[in-house]
Amino acid sequence: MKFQLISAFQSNADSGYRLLPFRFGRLPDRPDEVLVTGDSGRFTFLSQADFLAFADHRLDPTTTRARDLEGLDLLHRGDRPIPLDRHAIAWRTRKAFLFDGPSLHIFVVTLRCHHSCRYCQVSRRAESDAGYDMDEATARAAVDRLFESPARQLTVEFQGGEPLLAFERIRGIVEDIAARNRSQRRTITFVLASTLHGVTDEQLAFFREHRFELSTSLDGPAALHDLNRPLPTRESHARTLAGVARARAALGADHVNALTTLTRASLAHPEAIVDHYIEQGFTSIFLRPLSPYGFARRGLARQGYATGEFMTFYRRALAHLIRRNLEGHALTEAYATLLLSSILTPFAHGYMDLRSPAGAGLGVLLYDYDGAVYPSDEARMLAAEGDRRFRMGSVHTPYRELLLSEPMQAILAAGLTEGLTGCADCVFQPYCGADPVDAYARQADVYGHRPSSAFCARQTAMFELLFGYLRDGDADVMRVFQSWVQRRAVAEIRGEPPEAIDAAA
Amino acid sequence: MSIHEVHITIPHREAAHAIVQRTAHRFSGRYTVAVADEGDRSCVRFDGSVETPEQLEREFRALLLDDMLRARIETETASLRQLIVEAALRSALREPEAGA
Repeated sequence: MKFQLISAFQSNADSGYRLLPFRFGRLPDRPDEVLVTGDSGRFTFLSQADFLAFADHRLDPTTTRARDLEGLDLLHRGDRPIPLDRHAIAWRTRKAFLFDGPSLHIFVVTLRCHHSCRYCQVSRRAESDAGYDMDEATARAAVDRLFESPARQLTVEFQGGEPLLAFERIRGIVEDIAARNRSQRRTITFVLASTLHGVTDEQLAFFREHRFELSTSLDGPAALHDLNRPLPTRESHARTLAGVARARAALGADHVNALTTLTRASLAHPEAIVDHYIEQGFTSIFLRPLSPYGFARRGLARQGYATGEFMTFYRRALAHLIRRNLEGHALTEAYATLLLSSILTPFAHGYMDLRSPAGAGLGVLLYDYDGAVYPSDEARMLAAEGDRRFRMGSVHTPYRELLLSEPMQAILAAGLTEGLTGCADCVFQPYCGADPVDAYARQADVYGHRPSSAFCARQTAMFELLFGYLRDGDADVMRVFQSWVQRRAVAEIRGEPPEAIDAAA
Repeated sequence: MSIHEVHITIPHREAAHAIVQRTAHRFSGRYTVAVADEGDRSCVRFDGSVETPEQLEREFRALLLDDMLRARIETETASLRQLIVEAALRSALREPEAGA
């Protein structure tokens, strides 16, 4: 057994306290204040003078300020032993996903689709094309891999193309999983990502029986949606709403969600997009920027935009969302809610793109229609463009070999923000994540280059926006944010700033 | 008029070369940056369109001060951080269902 040097356990220069691990930075519009974030995710804002006193061990340990910082796990007062177990539990809680193994299993049952969306990330095929559906042997082997994963809670997501075009394969997979789960006894959630165009009563009855969550795409009002998601009949928006209505009637409104993808045409209409979701009775909107994959990559010049343009849109949309929530319309923004959950609670969020270690492979396995296994949807999209470097193996490859495959070695090496240049000392590191597949797609390097990364620029701008709101501490805004994080009505939330803000007052 | 090459020299007695490299890396999205260790000092060269070299140098030195502080904090807290992570991983192996 090896022991640490005694200095590791002693107070620094008899200052009366020890620093606990933390990072720091500043918000662009508050250069005289320092944001301090601990490894546990708790944070505070300090004046420059107070921050330097704290970091230089010049803070009087008997003051309220020192006690507040100790309460936030940023320092440890006195000579008592540091309660390692408590800090270890906090760290383990934030990294809980690490101990589960892959919990999201994506089945791409077909590449066929009846849409020709301008921003499509997938290399879709025409509805009548043959040879792009998952066959039964592939499906059964993929289910073998699913149950080799150690996770007790599994999400099985069906994607395409348009997966409803291969409904019988979905039915076969679900029935196979349900039969095997009688002995496995896992908690399984089924998700279908579909346009919902032409969904039948029989299909809806099946989805209700197996408690599916349905996810569709709604890009905003009809003119915008139909521009982004053209059909020869120019009725995509109307058919989507009709599908949503029928799905809600069959499964209940809580089980039908929608995502919006933002093209250049969307950026001028943040308020209209938000209001359209409210009018259509949704309780969540996910304002997603374009991805640099698949067909979308070819359309970026025409439909793409810079991070600054996206953030101008997003700031307006978020401000409008806050106003509408305070008026009594309960509509969360999914991405802000993910980030706020990470900032305001001790728990790990489940979002695969913002994990460290990366969610790719460790949290997700994707089974493509042809039997290839990928660590994420994005890796599959790269493969569809001819770059198969992230192909982990096939559905016939044992789980252990998949997780030890060469692509996973690369992802593990580059998927830890705690060790990446530009991430390791970033003040937002406790809440952010690494996605080596995305870094490779954007910058041709799994490690990525943070100073020129659009992903990093957007993440940084998002955190700066949210921490700006948190620092302002407006009681109404805090109520809205807490209602999103706690999944409660705004009216049920008392307006209180986060505990951490008190230390800066 | 913009200048296309700016040099900033930092003596090692002010900041270790590794810390100068860390700060210089932060600018590598805006400029082509080269850092050379020249015995008792680090020389940082920025290539690109620089409107006000004085402002660039002020910004660089402010970030360098922060990075020097970060390096000191890391040195002071790294062993504790390692102990915490080790304890967390040990507990996860010991009690796989607890605390997560």
